[in-house]
Amino acid sequence: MEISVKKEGELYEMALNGDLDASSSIILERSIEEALEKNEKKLLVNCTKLNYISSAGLGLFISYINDFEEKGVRLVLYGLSDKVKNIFKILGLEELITIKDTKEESVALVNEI
Amino acid sequence: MSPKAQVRIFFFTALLAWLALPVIDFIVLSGQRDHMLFDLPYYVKSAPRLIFLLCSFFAFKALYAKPREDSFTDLLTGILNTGVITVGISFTLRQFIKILSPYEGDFFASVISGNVLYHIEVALYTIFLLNTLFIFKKKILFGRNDRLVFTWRLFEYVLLATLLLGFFRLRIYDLPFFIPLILLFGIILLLSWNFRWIAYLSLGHKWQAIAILLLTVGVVVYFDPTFVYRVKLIGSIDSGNDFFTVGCSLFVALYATFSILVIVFNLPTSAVFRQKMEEIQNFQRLTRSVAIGRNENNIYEVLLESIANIAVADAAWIARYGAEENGTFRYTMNATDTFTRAADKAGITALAELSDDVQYFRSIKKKDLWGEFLRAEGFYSLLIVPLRSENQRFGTIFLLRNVKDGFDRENVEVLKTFTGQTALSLENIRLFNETLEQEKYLEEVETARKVKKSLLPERLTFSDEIEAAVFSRSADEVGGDYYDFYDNGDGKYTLVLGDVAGNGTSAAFRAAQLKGIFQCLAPLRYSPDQFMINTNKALARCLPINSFATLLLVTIDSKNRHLEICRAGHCPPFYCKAENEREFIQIGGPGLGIIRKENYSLKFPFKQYTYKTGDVLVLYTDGITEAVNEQGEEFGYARLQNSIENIKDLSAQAICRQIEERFSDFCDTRTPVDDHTIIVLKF
Repeated sequence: MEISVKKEGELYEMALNGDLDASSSIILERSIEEALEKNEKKLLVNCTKLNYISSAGLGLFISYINDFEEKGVRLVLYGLSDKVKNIFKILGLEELITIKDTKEESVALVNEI
Repeated sequence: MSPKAQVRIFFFTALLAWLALPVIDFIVLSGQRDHMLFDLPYYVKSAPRLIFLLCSFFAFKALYAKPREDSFTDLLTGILNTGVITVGISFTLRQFIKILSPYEGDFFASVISGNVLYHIEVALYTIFLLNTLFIFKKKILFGRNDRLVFTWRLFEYVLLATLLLGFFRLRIYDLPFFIPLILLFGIILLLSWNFRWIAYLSLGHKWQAIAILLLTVGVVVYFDPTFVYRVKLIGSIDSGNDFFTVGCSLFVALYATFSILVIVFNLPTSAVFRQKMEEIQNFQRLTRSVAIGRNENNIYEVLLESIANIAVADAAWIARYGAEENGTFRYTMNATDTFTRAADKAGITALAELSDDVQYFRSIKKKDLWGEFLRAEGFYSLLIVPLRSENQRFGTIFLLRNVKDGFDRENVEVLKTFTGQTALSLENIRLFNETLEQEKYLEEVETARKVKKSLLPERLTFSDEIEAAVFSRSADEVGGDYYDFYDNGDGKYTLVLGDVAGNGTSAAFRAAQLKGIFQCLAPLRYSPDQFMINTNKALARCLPINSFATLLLVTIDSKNRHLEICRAGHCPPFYCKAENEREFIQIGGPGLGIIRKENYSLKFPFKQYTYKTGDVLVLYTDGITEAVNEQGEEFGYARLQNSIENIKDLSAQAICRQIEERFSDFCDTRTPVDDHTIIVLKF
């Protein structure tokens, strides 16, 4: 699993590459924590190259749902493969975590308010 | 005959022969004085002497024939003792004779004073000589080889030959005598060149050996083996040239002298030798402390002491990585904690980080902070040795000397080997401890596995017309898959299949919590959505924030053939109706423990069916659909549906077994990474 972090203006984008499982979710958690420390409000997760997500990976996103809401942080995942998207869907996370198809949609979403 | 008996017989014969010596002298001399024509034949006069020497020789040969386990120093002490005793007796007698000298005019007095003393001295010297000779034999033959043993045997034969030649009155200038003499001298030189034993003496023993060998030479000089030529002066008979004694003396004196020289020249090297021995012993101690202690601290202590000794350091310490105290832990020698801390601050530890190899500062300059600090403390050279194995760095050793160029290149090599060995030992200890941890972990897992097993019902039994079959496997020893059922007693049943996030021990214990909740709620006959809402509440309170569970609830009313199916984040169950209608039941709500807000309006829509005979309901966990084969394909929904459709007319057991087989075939050699469970209900 590789995570590359990119900063574009107000956007804080994390690109995931590989499998997000118990061990790699620790790395992702670190990047998210970093973003929170820097007071980032607009987080994007590029899942184009995300091959697989385990329950630990899902748990990581879930654990931030309330936190983000309280701090007014917006998190959008985009570019999910059908397989990964289905996992989110089955678990009923579609209503809790924002998932978009493209980066443009995601950017538009985080920038509105 | 035993060697002991041999020794006794030879000594006794030698004694008798020796007693005959003064008697014969007395007879011959008194005959000469009285101008009697009576004289003993030459061979009668000489025979006792020959017998005496011959028997003494064999007596000592037999005495030292037994391979005794005497140390070299014990043997040398044997020389010392005989030397002191023989010289002591001889000296006392000589003084005694001096007192008797006023009666010198008297014939008998002069015979006693001269002749008897002479013979006593011959006996004493012969004892000393032969004793020393055979002790030297043991030393020379130490670490023997065939050639050496042969030379020694030749030496003995030639010695005996000189004895016989003397007996037959051959003179030194006679050719037949001359050749063996040259031979004897040659052999003595050859033999005197074996000093292997000296190398095995410690420094203290070497000094001791020098003293004893000097004494040996002294004893030879004291007795003066050439006294055979003074025979006539002291009134003994001429019994031929005694080159046996001369030969033995020559050997003893030469070998003693050579040995002294060799030991003296050996003294400087033996100091080095002793140091090398210490290094080897330190290695051994290190290995031992690994075997016995299994204690890292112990190893660090031994290491520091050893290398500080090898390098002759004035101060030394080890900064250990990954330890309790601020990341470093110190073992110090002639260096206080305050000192090493200050050295740390001055940047010496940072210096060590620069290289993975040994760093040697021959002459510390005051240009850096650390240089200034060390110079102020009186140190001029610094050696930094990293303590590392191939995989890991354990720490750094700092060695200081208060002179420039304080460390030898050779020592640095030894230090490298030493630290390499130590790092290996440390790694072994860690591996050992890890194995121990692993063992403990496996034990825990075993307990958890037992607990988990007790959570699952042994079999699912519903009313007679409903068949049920289960297949469940864990990826780890303990899994997060959980299923259970509750019999409400009036033909109503509740069945659940769940998956708690993660696998391993923690997931199993969370499954236990889920079971508690299920067994509490099931008798309360909540509607499926109410059941889910309550379970969510309960789990939200007990699961950690990044954990959740998915659950599938099936209630069966067997009297009314009624079925309710509710899904909470779980994989959609597959419903395969008898009349070719099939469906993955997608409807449902989110996983449990995800939404923790009290005021969130959580909804769990569920589906109701009236089942018909022949309908098949398959529940499963994501371990089935998400399993990946070698080509990276997922087992997926289509494959699952496909494997069920064709066999839906079989019994629940058979359906379950065939899905399992198909699944195993698909995974082939790859072990599924997740727990996987299949439950088949056939109505």
